[in-house]
Amino acid sequence: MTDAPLAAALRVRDLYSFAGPKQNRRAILEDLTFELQAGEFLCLMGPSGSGKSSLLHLVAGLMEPDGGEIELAGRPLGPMKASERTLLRRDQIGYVFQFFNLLPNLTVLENVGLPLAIRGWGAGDQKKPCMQLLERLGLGDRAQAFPHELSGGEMQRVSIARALAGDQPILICDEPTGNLSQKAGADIMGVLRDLATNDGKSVLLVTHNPRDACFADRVLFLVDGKLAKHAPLTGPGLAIEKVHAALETLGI
Amino acid sequence: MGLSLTMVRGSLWRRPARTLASVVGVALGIAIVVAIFTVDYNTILRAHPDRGEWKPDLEVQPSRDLGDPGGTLSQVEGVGLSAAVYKASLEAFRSDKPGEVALGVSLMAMESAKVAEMGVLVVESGEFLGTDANRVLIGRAMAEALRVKPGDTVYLAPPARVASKDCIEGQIVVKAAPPAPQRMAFQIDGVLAFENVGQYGGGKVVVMNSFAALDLFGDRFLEPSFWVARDLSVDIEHLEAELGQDFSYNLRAGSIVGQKADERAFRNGVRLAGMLALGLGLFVIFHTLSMSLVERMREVAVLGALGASRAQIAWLFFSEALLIAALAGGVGLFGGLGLAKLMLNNGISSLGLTSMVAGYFDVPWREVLGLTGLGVLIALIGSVFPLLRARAGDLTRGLRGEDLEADRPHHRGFNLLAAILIMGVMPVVFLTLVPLVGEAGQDLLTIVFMGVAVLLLLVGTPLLVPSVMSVVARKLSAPLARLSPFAGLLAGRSIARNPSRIAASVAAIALVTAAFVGLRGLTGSLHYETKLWAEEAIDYKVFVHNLGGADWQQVSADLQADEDLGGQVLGVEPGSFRIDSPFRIVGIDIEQAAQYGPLADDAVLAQAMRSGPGILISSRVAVQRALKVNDTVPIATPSAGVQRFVVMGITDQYGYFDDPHERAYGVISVDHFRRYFCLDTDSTDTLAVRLKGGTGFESGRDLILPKVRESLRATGHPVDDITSITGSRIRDYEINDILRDFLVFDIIILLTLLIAGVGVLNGQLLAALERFKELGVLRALGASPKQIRNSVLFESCVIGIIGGAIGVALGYGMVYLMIDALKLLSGLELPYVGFQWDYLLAALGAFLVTIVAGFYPVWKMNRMSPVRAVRTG
Repeated sequence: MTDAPLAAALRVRDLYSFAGPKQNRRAILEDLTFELQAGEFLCLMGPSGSGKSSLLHLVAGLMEPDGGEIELAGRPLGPMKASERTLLRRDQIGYVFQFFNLLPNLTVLENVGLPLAIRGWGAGDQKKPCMQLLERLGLGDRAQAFPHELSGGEMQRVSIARALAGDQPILICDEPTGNLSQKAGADIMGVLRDLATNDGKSVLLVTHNPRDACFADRVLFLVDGKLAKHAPLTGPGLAIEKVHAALETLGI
Repeated sequence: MGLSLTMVRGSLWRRPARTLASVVGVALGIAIVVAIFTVDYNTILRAHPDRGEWKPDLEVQPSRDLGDPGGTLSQVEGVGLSAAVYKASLEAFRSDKPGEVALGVSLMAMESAKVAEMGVLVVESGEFLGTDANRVLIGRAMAEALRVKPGDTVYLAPPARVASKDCIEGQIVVKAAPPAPQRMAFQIDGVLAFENVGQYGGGKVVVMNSFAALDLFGDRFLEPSFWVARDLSVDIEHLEAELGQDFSYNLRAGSIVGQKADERAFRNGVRLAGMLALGLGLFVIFHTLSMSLVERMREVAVLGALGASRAQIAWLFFSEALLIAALAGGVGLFGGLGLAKLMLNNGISSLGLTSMVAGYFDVPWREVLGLTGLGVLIALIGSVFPLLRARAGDLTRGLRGEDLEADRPHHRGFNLLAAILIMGVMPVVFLTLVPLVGEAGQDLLTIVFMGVAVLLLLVGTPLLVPSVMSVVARKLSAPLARLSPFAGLLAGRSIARNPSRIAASVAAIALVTAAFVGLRGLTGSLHYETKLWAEEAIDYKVFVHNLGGADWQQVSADLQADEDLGGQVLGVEPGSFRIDSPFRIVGIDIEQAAQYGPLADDAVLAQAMRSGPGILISSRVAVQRALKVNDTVPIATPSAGVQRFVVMGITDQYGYFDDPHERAYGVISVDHFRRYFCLDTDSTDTLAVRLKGGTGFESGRDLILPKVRESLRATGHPVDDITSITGSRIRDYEINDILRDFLVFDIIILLTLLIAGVGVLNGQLLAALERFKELGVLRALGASPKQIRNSVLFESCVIGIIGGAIGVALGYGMVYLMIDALKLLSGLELPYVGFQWDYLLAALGAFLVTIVAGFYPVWKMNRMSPVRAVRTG
């Protein structure tokens, strides 16, 4: 973590989200309030179905909340139109998915260059920064490969490279190790930690893997759509036993 | 732009099979309409018989008792513009000095303002014809011969008259010679270019105002003609029927190329078949775009999550659609032109098979580019749906990879859009670019309505009854499931999950099958009609040609008395006595004709035909002209004005001749020919010999040619060139002609079947790709490639069986509609035919096409790696 004073990159206040038919709606997120500071690595832990992915979709402006407020880079998403949210997402958020979501018809280099292409960069302009990212993530020699030619760990690295290509300050990671081996998962988490520590990226990670949580500066727990009252764990360098203990206390 | 390039390259270039299938669907549709239009254009261009001197569409002569012929003519429906013209020969001189050698020129005296409106007077130097009496325009050759130019004076005089002859009651009467005419001076206003009227007399032509000509000719009678420019929106038969009451006329052959009722029916049929093909091609691309969107919703969602705006995503799809449509447009345009050239080189025209078009190829660029643009435009508009869908899509569902196929309201919306575009916009624009030939009357609207109704079925099936289709398909797949339970289960699930896709494929296959069945029914009906006609008109006749002016009565007497022929010859019909106004009229000997047919059965009728001005008309003339017994047919004669003949009966037994083949005609007594036309009716070049039939018919028929030769040889008449053809041979030619002529439809249907096959292939391929993960998991769980393959082929079987069955049922119903429509359009009396076994061939063909269309998706599935499927999201 850097020593610079922390400022909120993301603020979530009294957030509510419901799902299901109108006559039988159920809350998937309830009264959620938290902040992600600039350069902070925040982990949200919770079991499957606790609303983790929905929270990320709301934060990224892909969904609209049913109540409460989300502020991204000091700007509330509520009054914004979809197009404004898109532009803010483009500027502020890099997204890493559990299932990588690499486009199968594009090469590794083209996949990584997508955020730049979206900003209107030509293929020639994209190449240098994208290759630098791939080199940094150990994929320099796979630039022309297609996704189906990569291992799971490699695909997730490409996904991270793509999230970094736009140089957005916030990195949202949705179970990034969910489909990876333990070693590959640790490898990826190391990369994320490094991005927070050395690049000053704010990382919001959702996971149900206690090993991943150990890499975070702070761990919050999400149970049945609510933030647990359990005091947050703080890191980095959390012992996995502490995480296990917290999960046990919460009955997760 | 960078994003579009990257994505479009990834989507199109790296998925060549899908790109190809999308392009081929639209390209085939465009190629078919381009080919059809180009073939039709070249057919009409080459079939044009007027290669020499210009003539108006129609030149009419009023009956002499008509008070105001110009006024009457202008009221005739089908007459666009008309102008009175007096034609005569003139002598032209450079001066009025006696002894100068005259130049013979043609005079065209006319209502110059009206003729100018027709655009047939082209002045290459000087000015247009003035309104004064002493002004003229002259032809280029005349100006050169007399060495005169605009502004000069030319002297004109009618030729000295010789004693004229007249035909009065069959006798040639010679009149007294009149005095020599005087020259008159005329100022040359302009010289005509060597085109249109300027071509008359090889360019030795004088054009003046009609009142000036009447002055010049003084008391000499000039027979007025009227030049008529046709109103093309009125059918030629309609115009002829209207004119027939007061005018005799010569219709320029060129103005009726492809305009006769049966030709119109054929050409319109080809055009509507083209429209159907284009509709089907667009239907295929719409469904491909729609289904590919389902496959690509995750892509859309990822781009959205990465910050791509909805406009950027929409632009991506638009760029892709634009590229596909442009590529398809190019391939369709040049493929269509290539196809047209191939068809023309092989003699396939829009009027059937003919050698006239071989070796010629002109491209009507304006029209074919318009048609290509239409296809491209509709394909582009079709991309609006995926655009809207992409814009409105739920990104979070896409990111989770949820099933979007279940999103039924969007499919309904798409089907509605497709229906509006294919059934509304496309036919209207198509028919604007390629108007139907003939009157926009009820009959043509019926045809168009039928076409639209079939299209309604095409898009209506998936729109309205996908669930019904799904239920039927599942029921049908049940027996297949007993053969291979697991593959049957997979096929059943796939069918249940994608009712719209199944229904769309079924509709495409059903449409093509129905078109094939309808066409087979139509040709069956035409066969049967020809057979019925032949039994009455030609089966018992032998046609003898190249007689070189033989005494037909002597030949007839010899044949009837010949012992070898055993009394088989009932009579003969001479074929040389014919006129073509108002339709073909043939003169026959009533005494000979009274030995067979209705004249033999009805002595009163025979007597009426002998004594009065009676006419027997063929059944086709009766239908085309709406004539019935006791109606009158006015026939213009050279000396007795218009004579009215009473229709005594309707029969095909008399008067048909094979050279040229014409089934719309009437017969009158040869005595009337002699009386009104002063024709020599003693000798003929062609003869039809009518045999009795029954025992001895075939041996008698084979003896006709030698016996005719024997008869003529006895009188010293040359016999070497004489040939004959039997009626049964003519019938076989006619029936083969129907098959040959309909080859063009067979080609269109085969190509359309290909489009339908591409549609099925697209559907199944996209379904396979969509189920990539599911099928991979099944493979990982132990399903064999054979089981997966069978599931696809079962689905193909179900589509083929249902599509074929619906197609045969629909086509069987369509046969009646098509026959009715053709009856309306062509004036043919077509019989209905029952079920024919080759209808089942259509169903079998449809079934095979769907099976073949399933092979590529099967191959693709077999190449899928189960490992890749299970480890990626």
